Amino acid sequence: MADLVAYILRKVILAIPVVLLATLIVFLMLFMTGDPINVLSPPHASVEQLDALREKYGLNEPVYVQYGLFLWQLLHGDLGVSVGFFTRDLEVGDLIADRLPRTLELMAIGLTISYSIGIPLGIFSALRHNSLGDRSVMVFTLLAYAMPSFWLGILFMWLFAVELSWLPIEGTTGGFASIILPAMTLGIGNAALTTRMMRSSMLEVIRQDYITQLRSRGLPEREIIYKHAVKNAILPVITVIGLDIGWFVAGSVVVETVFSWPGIGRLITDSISNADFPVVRGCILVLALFVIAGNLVADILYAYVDPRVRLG
Amino acid sequence: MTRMRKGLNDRLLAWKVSGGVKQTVADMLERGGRNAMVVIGSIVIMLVVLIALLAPVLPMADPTEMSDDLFEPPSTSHIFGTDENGRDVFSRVVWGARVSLLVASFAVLASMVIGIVLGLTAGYFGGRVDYVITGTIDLFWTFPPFLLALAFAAGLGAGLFNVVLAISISYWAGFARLIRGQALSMKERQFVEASRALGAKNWRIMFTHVLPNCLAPLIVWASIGVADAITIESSLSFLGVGTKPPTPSWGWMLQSGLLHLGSAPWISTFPGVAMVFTILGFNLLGDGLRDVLDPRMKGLRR
Amino acid sequence: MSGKKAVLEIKGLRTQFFLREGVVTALDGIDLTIYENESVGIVGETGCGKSMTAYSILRLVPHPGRITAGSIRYKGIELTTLDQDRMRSVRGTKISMIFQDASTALDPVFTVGDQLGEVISLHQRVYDKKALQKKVIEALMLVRIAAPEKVITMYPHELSGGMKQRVMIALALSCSPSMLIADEPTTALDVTIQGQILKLLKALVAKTGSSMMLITHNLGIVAETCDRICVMYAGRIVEDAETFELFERPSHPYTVGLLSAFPKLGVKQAELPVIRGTVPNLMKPFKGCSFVDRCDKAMEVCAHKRPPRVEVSPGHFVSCHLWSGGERPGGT
Repeated sequence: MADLVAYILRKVILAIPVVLLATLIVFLMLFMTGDPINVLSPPHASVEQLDALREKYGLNEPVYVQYGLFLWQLLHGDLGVSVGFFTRDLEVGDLIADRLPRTLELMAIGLTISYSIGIPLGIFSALRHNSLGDRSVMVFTLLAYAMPSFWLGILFMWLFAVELSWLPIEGTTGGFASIILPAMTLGIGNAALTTRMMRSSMLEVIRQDYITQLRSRGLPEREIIYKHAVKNAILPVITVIGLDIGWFVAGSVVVETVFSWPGIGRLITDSISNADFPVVRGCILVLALFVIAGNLVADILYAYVDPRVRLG
Repeated sequence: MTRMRKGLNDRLLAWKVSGGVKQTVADMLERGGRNAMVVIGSIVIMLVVLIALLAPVLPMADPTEMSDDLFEPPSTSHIFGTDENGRDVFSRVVWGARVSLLVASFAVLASMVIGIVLGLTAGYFGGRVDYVITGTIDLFWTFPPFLLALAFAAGLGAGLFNVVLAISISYWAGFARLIRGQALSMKERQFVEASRALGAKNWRIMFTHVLPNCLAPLIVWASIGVADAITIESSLSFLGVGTKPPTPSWGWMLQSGLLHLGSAPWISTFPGVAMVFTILGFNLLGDGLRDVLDPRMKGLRR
Repeated sequence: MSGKKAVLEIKGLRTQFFLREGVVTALDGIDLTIYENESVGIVGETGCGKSMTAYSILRLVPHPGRITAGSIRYKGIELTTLDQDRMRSVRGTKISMIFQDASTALDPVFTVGDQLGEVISLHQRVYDKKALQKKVIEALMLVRIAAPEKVITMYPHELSGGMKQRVMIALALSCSPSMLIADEPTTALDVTIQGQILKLLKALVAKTGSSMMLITHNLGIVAETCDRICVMYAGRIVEDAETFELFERPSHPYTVGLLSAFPKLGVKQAELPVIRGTVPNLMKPFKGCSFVDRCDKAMEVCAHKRPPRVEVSPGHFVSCHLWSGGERPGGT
């Protein structure tokens, strides 16, 4: 257990520069379009307002001081204030905190959908390698993967909400029914990846020596496949659950926009159209932290489930 | 996008030297010709590229010309119908292909160049140079390209050039990893030692030995990269930070069609189908070539 | 020989692989009998079909291969046509196998205790946890693993190569099979460990009274361990004799070549002789003797007629046209 703790500690320390890079990119976004004050202030701001904002963000100081200030404020949870028309002067942190649970909810259900489709389908496909069923599954994964999530979302919306009227078109008013379409949209693209990974992992495992060895002991085929082979094959698949967070973070921006799902992703696009730069920046930073956390989880999970990793 | 950072990526990185340019090309043509995925993918790509190239001479309406025929369903005069501004959807889909392919190829090309330069530098010089570059590569590698591109695009604002820029600075890390790994392993090889003994310059060695040996995985990665870049571009445009509105873009067309999904589904459907078709083509080619060219797959019955 | 009871009788066994490129005949008419308490060595070059013989006996020939002809009898029971369930009960309890490389042949994600326990509880129907653990520890003690209580909680990768192979032997012997197949059991190990494992194997076989089929390409190992040796070449057994007899009077030209390529202790040789040529392509069927292209004594008949199996002296069988007459050709 001690080596696991040391491993986690090492990984956490290694994540620090990544977090810094994320803050740096987000900080530099300010300068991509010219004078930062233009994007940090509401339109038609008064001279006093502008001066106050310059003071707050340290815009008269050298760039590295500004960055230091930015980090300092971040450490205190201060992401600045919104300059959008409807949300003027509200704390960005509060706006995000409001939306966060919605995004988490969506990701959790999307993740569940993607794994409960991907893993069984991958196993099925591998056990019937090269059969008609296997080929159909492969065609499904190719198609699902080629579908950008906003297009898949639109298709689902058109089919299940507009044509069949089974599910609400958008928003959250329909209770649990409302989350089904966005979560499915988010989950299916990733399910395609999970299926392919599970399939190739399974194909790799069932031709390993230890599977033959287990057969030579007279163990029932069912036990060899579902106990030994699946456990071996599933490890590399579930350990990337953390990396999937990256997919879901990226996908949630688009999917929430399609379905007007009031999460962080939707907040980004709304803020982009409202020219509310501080909010956009804050959201992107939060999503980036998600990704980093996801990667960390992936590393730790991998070491936890696969005893071989820690030592290597 | 995520696919690169999952299983598939490790296979490409572990991909060892094939037999140089001629061998790779010959293999690609010979073995690829027998692989259904490669063949279908190539046909799809050729079709899309051909239509995109012929866009200016095809007999169809101007993609930006508005008319009073709003929301016209597909008919003989407008085979894909018209949109909310009375523009011909077919023409916009065709010109959209042009934009998508243009953005995607430039973005992939640019990220490939960044990747090759950084990867070769890191892999070949090693030491502190390698340390710094590898660190940067890993940092970029952590984030999904779409999220990075969204951050850059949000900072830069919409526009054709900005999209290309945003995608290329988000996508290069994969290429750099690939090239660096290859350069590292080539460094140890005897013939590189030999050419150095013969007085060849470092850069020359890198370009003449490392690159040709990376050709197969580079091609695979580039093909999948184009598919990814099209996805990113259309997603950005869908969100309003991609190409600017008068430019016909698939993502943007889908966004505007979303409002009229119930009454005029063709506005979204046709660009959507064209988009999936194109992405599928590049994915098929990339996946197929990978299966065919991966030396570990050789001789295996499939 | 006559009073002994046969444990395993193989007659005319043929195993073929159906590839897109053609049919590979991996085993081409194997005849082999293994008696009670007997250790038989199978020697030959890589790819001659040694391991495939083992896989065929256990009916574990990998796809796209299958047994196409011949019979395998275990104590009179025909194995080639046995249904899957009954075949499974033969595996592990009656015939058991030790694999070449324990580091790939043990399941990496289960502990040693779990893997041993699974086999023992299946075949010996031990379901009580405590009793099972006791049995597992006993099995590990049998292969002289120190601190078995600790080892049962360990994963294969935490063990050394020699330890892993001991666990593998424990697995194979856990249900006291009467026939043990050891497929290159020491090849993956350090030379110093090889000796230990071999000694252990020999002692255990003697102790449990099971028969053993030892597959190796190392003549030294069979000479030390086995009562009888079968020499395989290109999917056929070319010579079959008691160990002493084979080393004293090798009769097939291939065996002669093999033995002369084997350095002898105390004999100074300037250069080890080699057998010229390489192993033939198993894709095209041989009409005659499979060794004909590499044989110095090849005659016309060798190319088109398959040499019959001849008993040149009691218990010494050779498949070679030089012996077709039934007596030793000139000299020797």
